[in-house]
Amino acid sequence: MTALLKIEDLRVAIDGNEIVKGLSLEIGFGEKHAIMGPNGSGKSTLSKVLAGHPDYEVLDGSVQFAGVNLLELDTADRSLAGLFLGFQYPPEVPGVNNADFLRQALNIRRKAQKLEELDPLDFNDLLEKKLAELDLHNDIYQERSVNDGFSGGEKKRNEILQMAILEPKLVILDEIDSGLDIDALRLVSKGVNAFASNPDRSLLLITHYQRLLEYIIPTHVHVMIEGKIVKSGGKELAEDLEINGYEQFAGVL
Amino acid sequence: MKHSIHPTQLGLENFQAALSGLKHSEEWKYVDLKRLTDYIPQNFGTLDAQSACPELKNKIWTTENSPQQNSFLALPEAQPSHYQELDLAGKNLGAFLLEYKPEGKHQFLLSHLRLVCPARAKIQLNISVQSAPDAANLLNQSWEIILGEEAEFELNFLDQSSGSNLNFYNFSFACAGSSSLLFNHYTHGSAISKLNCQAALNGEEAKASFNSLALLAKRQAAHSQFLVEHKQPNTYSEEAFRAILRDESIAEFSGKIIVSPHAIGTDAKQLTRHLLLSDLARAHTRPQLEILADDVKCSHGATVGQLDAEQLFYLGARGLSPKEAEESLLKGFISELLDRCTYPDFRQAFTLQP
Repeated sequence: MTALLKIEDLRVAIDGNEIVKGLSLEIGFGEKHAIMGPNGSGKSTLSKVLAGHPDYEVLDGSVQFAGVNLLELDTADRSLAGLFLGFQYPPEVPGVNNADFLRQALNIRRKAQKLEELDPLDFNDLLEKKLAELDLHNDIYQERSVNDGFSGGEKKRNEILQMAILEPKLVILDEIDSGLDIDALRLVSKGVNAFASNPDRSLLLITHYQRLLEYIIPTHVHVMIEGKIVKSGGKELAEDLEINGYEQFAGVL
Repeated sequence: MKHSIHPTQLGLENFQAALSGLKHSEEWKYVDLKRLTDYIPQNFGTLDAQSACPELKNKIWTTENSPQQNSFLALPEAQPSHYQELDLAGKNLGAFLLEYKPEGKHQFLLSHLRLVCPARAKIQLNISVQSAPDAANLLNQSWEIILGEEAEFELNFLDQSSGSNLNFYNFSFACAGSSSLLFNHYTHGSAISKLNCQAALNGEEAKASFNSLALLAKRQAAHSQFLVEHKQPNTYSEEAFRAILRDESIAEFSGKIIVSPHAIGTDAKQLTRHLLLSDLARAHTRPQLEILADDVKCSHGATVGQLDAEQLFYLGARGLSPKEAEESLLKGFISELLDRCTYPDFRQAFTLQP
């Protein structure tokens, strides 16, 4: 079976500085990958370039996603193809109601899949169901503008809510654990685990800390240093990093 | 043959004669005065409040006499021959719609309405100005609005007149103690539009909020002048001004807040945001604070910029095309001020495209 995501020798620059320097990675269906690395190793750049951020320039390499050349698609088409990026710092979008935005995003997807669009009433039923499944008992997700005045934790939970509504094939979560207290981390992890229990869906977690990986157990762990993956292994690699840190890889490059 | 001149014509002639003296003034320096001096109307008229609001007919008086004080006129020196007064006494609660629908296409039109909102009354007045789609009228509308003590007055003003009009609007508010004023102004712009707004907070704990939203395109120019005077203690004012500028349009905002020595405990806010969607659009913004009292809170902020790239990327990452993302952000930008209007018809009528 071919991989869901196949990155080969990817090189990425921003403002002329090369950040990702020849990275290869394969993610199969149902797999949960984690990329760990110190600050500045290029983890967030990788997530943004996969989602199609316009500021990043792909210098070389290829990315296949669900059988298509991902790099040829614009940001919206990557989303419609089933790629979802959970942002490290989700921006606030004042004046755009969160529920209306979610309905619009879902209906654009349904339209692309030749499915009937959901009317506000049907969508509201779906939203309430998802909110209950994610234990989000707060009307800010329905009543307020997107992330407007949300706490750091509420913004991250809203990312998980969007993921649950849009049902992507590959979920990339960029530092989903930053800014979360332990209860919120549990709640978010529970939502991600429930979502990823479907064998057709894959995960790519980007994190500094092993703590997240106690809640969302990865099938594969990669260490990223200075724009490259320097070591790959199973979940035990994350435990090793927790004890020995990233310094052990300083001489690898 | 002076008797054959329509009385309103005199106003235009006086105004045009006065323009040459205005071109160096701070207030008029960005206004394309040539458009005004060259304007030759086919005819002259007045905008009648009685036909604009049949419901209030017996509450509106028309007089041929100019009021003593006419300095608040939008076009200085233009003497109105048509002056109306609306007394809402006895109308303690209610919402009224004034619809001005002049039929002419190349007219000079005047109106001057004084309106009294009695003490403790709760009144919403909704004014819409319309025109034939291809009209190029020169409008000079002036309102003098007096709020009694503890009155609550919401004025919603929707300008739906032609994009080729030359529109001059002047609002002058006098607010008594503990009164509350909400003024919402929405326009799709005209060739030239000038909004002058003066408010005097004359009584303690008077509150006034001003929201203005202008969506401009082509070579339209919008000039907004706000003056808020805090004359008594514990008064509150808030001005929120937003404009979306396409093509070669120009928006100018000038807002002055004066806090008199006596007005301790004043709380005044001013925030302007200009969104430029074209390299050729221009925005000028001039906040001015004149604070003569201690123990006051005054803040002002101004932004001029483009759509936020991170927001666009975020919406794109959820599947919205660049066009859908832009429209969504623009709707968000206007809805924050549009939602402050409690009259649903205006909220629905004011959309991104005229």
